[in-house]
Amino acid sequence: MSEVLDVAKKDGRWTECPSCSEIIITKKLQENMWVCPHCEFHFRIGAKQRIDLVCDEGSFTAIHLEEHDADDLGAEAEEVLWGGTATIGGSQCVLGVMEFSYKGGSMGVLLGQYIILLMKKAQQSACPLIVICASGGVRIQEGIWGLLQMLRTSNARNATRDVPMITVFTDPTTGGVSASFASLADILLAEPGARIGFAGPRVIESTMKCTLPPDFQDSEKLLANGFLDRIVHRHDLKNSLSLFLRWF
Amino acid sequence: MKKNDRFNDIDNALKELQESISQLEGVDKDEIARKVKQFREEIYTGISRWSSVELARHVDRPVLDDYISAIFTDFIELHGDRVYEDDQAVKGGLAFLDDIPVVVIGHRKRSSHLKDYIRHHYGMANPSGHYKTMRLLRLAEKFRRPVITFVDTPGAYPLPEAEYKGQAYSIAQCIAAIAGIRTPVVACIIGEAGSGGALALGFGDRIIMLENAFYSSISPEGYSSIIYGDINNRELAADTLKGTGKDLFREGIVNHLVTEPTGGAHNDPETVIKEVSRMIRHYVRELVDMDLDELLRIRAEKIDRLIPLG
Ligand SMILES: [Zn+2]
Repeated sequence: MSEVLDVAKKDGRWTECPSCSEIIITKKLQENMWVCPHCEFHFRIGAKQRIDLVCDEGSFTAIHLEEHDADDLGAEAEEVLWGGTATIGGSQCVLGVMEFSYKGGSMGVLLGQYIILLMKKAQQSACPLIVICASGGVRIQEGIWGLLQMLRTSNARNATRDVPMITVFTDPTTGGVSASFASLADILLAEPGARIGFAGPRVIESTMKCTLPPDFQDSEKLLANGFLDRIVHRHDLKNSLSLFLRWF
Repeated sequence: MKKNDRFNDIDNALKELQESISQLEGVDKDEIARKVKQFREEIYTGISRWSSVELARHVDRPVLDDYISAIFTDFIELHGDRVYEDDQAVKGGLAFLDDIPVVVIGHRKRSSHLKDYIRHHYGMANPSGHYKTMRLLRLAEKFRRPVITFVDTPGAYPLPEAEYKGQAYSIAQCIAAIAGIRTPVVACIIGEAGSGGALALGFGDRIIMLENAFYSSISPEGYSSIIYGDINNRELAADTLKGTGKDLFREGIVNHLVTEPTGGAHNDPETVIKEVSRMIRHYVRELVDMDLDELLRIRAEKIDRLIPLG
């Protein structure tokens, strides 16, 4: 029996929930927006899937980064962040969705540039901006230039502060993204069970030689500690976003 | 809350009496009902200020959640102070008043149907509750959305931790913010309104107050303790403080007085809330049409004039 399961898991027909270990038919999981039907665990999903989940059908139109068009770097930034205009529940917005599976959603110079572009687009078109985050933080390979994107994006948020902005933290959002533009939105939402913080638990445990509780940096903990406006179940995300857009 | 049960006892005794008399042969039930009603009205007419205080604290008095669900649509609660806590004594969020997007902030003594006073510490805010208020006010100001506040608190939370975390500073921030906010504010005083903790949410371009709500610098018990050494003179203290809706309306501090049914708001919450709702709509529509600079000039003048008449 277990061999059959292994084969089924391997070819993707079945998926094991990392939280409750139930084996779920992948198609069922997909229909449930990649939320475990047994324990409500929210699986990490890609930018493309998220866009399909929240945007009105066919309304997403990509905004392209003009700089560095010729080389691969501009294209790479667009792998980490899918930016575009869209409608959600009929309301127009500029949307950016981060792709964690691509280099940990890390923020380097070009991603910084891209985020600033989305902020400016939102301001020019008088549209709210929504950023769905998933990032390990600054791209450390870019050294000081990676770090400085925290300053550049924060400064751009200052310059476009009249733009209504919503951040949706998904699992995981840490480091330079959570500690810069993402936290400067008007409304801070998070998916259930998402890890959100500055320093990751492994860094803290190894540096401070301590053990952290299992709910350390969980979105539920953050809500209780006053850092989030709301936790939104993936099933409610589209409705919730459209309500905010209507209020803005 | 044994001490608040006096009115419940009266009402229950009358109800029992009415029921048992009605079961007797050969009585005119309508006549009995009429007499009971008349008797009840006599009990409650001209009730003392202290009785108002008791009604303001009544366990069944309509609370924040009752007002929010009846008056607004699509209320989205926004949690947290973005500093260290999500204070349960202050609840706020975004909502729609008909077609107008608004920000709602209020003290939460308990949730609608649960008497869970402890969790909300009786609507007494920590500094985090005031910081939550501050950031919601900033949001309202950014989007130029009218703010509607609901005041129902004995006062700020008197805990050592609250002092360590800047209770005084946080209250001052709220008071100054409402005084200067560049968007209209309508304040509703629905229950107890004690001291600076109440004032943190208790001022606006228009103020609506319930008849038996009690708004003052201190509770009658607190006043009695300070002046007379114990709480036994609380009834006298209530008369000295003059904090009922009628008092404040007479002084010109309150713009609209909402009368309560015989025996207090909890005897007919629907009618009371409907009247509050009607006035909020009236005032918000009036205020959003005003020029903002003019609104702020008038507000500043109004604050300037907050001194006793003659
Ligand atoms: Zn599961």
